[in-house]
Amino acid sequence: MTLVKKVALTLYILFLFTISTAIFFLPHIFIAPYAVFTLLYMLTLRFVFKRNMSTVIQNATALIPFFILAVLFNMFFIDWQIAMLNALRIVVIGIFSFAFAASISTLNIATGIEGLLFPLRLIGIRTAKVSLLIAISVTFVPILRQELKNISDAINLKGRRRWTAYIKLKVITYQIFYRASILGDTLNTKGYK
Amino acid sequence: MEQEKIVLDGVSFRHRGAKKNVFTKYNLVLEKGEFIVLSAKNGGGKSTLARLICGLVAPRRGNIHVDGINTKNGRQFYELRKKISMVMQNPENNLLFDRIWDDMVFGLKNLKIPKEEYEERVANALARVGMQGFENRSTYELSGGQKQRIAIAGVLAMGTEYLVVDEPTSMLDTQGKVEIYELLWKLNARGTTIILTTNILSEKQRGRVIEL
Repeated sequence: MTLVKKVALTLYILFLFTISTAIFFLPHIFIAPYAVFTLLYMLTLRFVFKRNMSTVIQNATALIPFFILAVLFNMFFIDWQIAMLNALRIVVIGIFSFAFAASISTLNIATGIEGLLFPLRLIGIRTAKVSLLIAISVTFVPILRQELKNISDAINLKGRRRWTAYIKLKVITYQIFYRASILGDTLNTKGYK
Repeated sequence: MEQEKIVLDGVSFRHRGAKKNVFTKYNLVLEKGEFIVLSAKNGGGKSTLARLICGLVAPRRGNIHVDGINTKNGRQFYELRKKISMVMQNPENNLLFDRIWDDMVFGLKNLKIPKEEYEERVANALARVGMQGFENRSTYELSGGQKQRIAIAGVLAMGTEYLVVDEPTSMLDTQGKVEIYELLWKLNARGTTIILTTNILSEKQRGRVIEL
């Protein structure tokens, strides 16, 4: 990979971090413009760069339980309107991140992150490994979404409502660790130590 | 030549938390170039044996050597991976990345294969599994049989001499099963040692069958 491409990937990753971090700290009034920006970003990726945005929309629906949990959690400490806005903030960041992940291959994400972490190399940290782990964790989200769907299908077949899958935390937790274990084996068979 | 085999020497293994051993002082020799079929009923230990041979898990007692490399020796991990790797039962579990090129090159990067060799190795491996020209396709677009082919190609690109395939056709349709078996026989005819686990033995089964 050429140096120009590596720098370009690093800057693109920096763009993601900057946008996502900014929306965390900016006042609530910026959530609406940020949501509009995310929509325009997705439309650009879809119609200019011909990227498939259907997986982004599918992954975004998986954020609904997190939105509900975030609202409920925040309501104990602040009023419900601020709680809703905070939860909305998380959802918009999530959707922007999914769109970003769909715009670039996982290995290129790893290359970009490796560029950002370059200073850590000077103190002996293996940035290539760290960046690859971070990039692979991005691919874990659709895998978990599929697991949640499998659980909800199984529950439905046993005569219960699908939404009860979201409260079967023990099953979900087990599946997360199981999938992580499988991921570890796959990495091992491909020579990743 | 003396070392070109897989040797299981007094291997004992038990899953964590289990009361009984899956294997107790188990001995086995698998010669290079063979087509081995490890057969057992469900829960009979064939996947466990595949994982032991591949070095994914270590035996509690005894040793496993692949061409002289002890699978318990962490320092020889990369040498081991250049010799032997595995394709798992579920096609979804074998692929890590969205682009086929990325998935195949990942193994080459880990084994520190020179970058100049990537294109040729990937192209050759894809050609060997009948998927030439698929480098830039997405793994999400593939059928189950195609995913297993790509997984096998990924292992071939790494240059492994021993290919362990754990029930590779259990999640495929009839057509997919036929394609994968034909591919494995063809690879074996060209020198790759195949170690296949299955719980279904067909009368047309080739190779040496080992019942567990």
